[in-house]
Amino acid sequence: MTGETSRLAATLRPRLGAIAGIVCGLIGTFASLQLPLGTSRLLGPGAVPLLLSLAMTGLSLALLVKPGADEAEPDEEDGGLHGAAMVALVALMIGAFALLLTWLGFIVAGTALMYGLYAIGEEKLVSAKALLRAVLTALAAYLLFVVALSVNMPAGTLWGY
Amino acid sequence: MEGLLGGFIVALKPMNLVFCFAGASIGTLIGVLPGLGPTAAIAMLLPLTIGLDPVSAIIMIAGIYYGASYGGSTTAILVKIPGEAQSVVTCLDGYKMAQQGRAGAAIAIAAIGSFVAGTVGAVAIGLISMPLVEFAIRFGPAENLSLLLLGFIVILVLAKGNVVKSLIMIAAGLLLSMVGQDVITGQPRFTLGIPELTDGFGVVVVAMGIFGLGEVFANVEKFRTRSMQAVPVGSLMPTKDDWKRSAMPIARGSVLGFLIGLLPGGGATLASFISYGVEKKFTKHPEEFGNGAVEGVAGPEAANNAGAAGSFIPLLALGLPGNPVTALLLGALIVHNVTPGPLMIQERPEIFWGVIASMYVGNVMLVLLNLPLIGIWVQLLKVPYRALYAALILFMIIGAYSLNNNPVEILLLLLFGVLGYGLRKLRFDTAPLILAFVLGGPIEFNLRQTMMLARDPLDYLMGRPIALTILAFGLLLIVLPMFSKVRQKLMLARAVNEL
Repeated sequence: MTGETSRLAATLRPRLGAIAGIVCGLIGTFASLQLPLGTSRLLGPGAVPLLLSLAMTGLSLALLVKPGADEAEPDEEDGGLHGAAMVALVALMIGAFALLLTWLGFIVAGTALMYGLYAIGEEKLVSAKALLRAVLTALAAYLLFVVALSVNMPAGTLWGY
Repeated sequence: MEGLLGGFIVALKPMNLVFCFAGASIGTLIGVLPGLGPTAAIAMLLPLTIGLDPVSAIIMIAGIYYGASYGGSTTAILVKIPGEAQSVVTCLDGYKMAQQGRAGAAIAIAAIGSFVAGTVGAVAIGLISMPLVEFAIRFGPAENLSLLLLGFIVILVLAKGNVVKSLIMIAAGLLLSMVGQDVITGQPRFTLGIPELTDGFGVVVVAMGIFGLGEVFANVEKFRTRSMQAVPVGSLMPTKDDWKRSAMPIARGSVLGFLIGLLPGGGATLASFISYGVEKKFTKHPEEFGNGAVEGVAGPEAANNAGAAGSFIPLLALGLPGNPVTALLLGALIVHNVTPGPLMIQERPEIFWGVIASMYVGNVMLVLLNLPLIGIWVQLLKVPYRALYAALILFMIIGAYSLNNNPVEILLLLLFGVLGYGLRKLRFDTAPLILAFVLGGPIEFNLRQTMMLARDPLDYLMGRPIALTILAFGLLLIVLPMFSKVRQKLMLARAVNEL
């Protein structure tokens, strides 16, 4: 990362956090106002969340106005755009696994997920090593969790289970 | 002492010994992975314990905790990458010792220091818990609320970095805890009509996502940049001089660490830092600190273990977790239908004393079994992270799914994983968020009950001396640092004037 980009990141980072805080606080405030607030003695379900949401908005505003120094650890590495893309890809695969699990079953969906993750690790789309590792990991997890620890993982509606 | 003996009978059952060993070994396995410490290890491995009975599960989790702490110290010494904040101090002198060819001695001293501290901790917990429980059993909503507020104040006072950011994290954690049914009326809140959210977010999914998956995401980012070079271990036998110089630091670290661990927000990290400072004052070789002083490993390692033991007391006796690890343990206990607090010791003594005895057994395991296996752990350091992370992710996914046999839990895990990763990128400390999330329910419940009981809140509070004392103590914690800051500024201004 160049010096200029890291300076820009250092300036933007605290403000980005503050803006996210303000947005969450405002959403919280709006949602809390839809609930009964009760009286000062008999607080309703919306009272405490309302106070917290307002506090969050106020604090985030304070952070926006006075963000303070960027608190990076001295030896902290940053993966840059490439790193963020890897994380996004991993997250997408986990999401897809969750959506396909009941349909494909644990062994097939698990092997596919493992293959994807190992392939990302190797940065290769087609890899026999990744496939072998994926099959072994999914099988080991099946034996440990489903057979030994009796965890109930779906067998897959696609296969008629 | 009778209770502790009973605890040993539970912990020494062959099955529980197996679970303790398995926990300590798998915990070490995760702990030696750079950047992953006890919190991440427990978060990732909680699923393994779900099918077990509560006592075995908690014993296994305690094993994971000690194993991961030991693994974290090993990487701190060998590759200068601490698993978690509590091992940061160990890097300073431990890595220097390793560079001087004395890594084995440093690892052995760290393990022995931890063992001694664990022993002191287990006995001290036995002595302190009962009187504390008898006192706490008289607590009403106002006292509970004051105690919970005190916990937050201490967390804030000790929080690293920006206080405003920590406050935002606390507010966010409390708000997250309010998703689901209202604690008093049962009315659904912020559920967006999703049936899975009626019971709110589960502690395990939130913690596993933010600490476990978030940590894995942060490491995925560094696949390309991270390379490690472990220093050779050498002989595990410390020299006669090492023993002599470590004895007192271990003793001091054990006592100091335990006392610090008792404070909400205290625990292992703070204990290790303070112990390092204390040893630097006591040593006859101050020049060696930072250059491979064995005291700089012995004291903090004993202190962080004793601190961890001390932090179990507020959790088990009062149901008040003081740090992320104990917050996770609270979550694990709740998953197993056990609610920590004064009543648990009376109703489920086998769990309370079993956990305490297993902490001791876990320490013995580390010294007797894990220390000789150091060669294997060092080999593990050579396996690239990219070859291990997929299995870690699969572990967490299975764990999340098995909570309710529902794929929605995996999506929630992913959501919190992304949140944890995002917060790390934005330099927010996630510990206050998770603590607030765990304490959110009890805080709101006690606040609303106190408001119901009190016609005039101020008048009501005046009639509750314990609550008032706790609140006054909290206020003092906020005010005192301000005064010292003002004094420092005044002295600085005076010095500038005199110039």
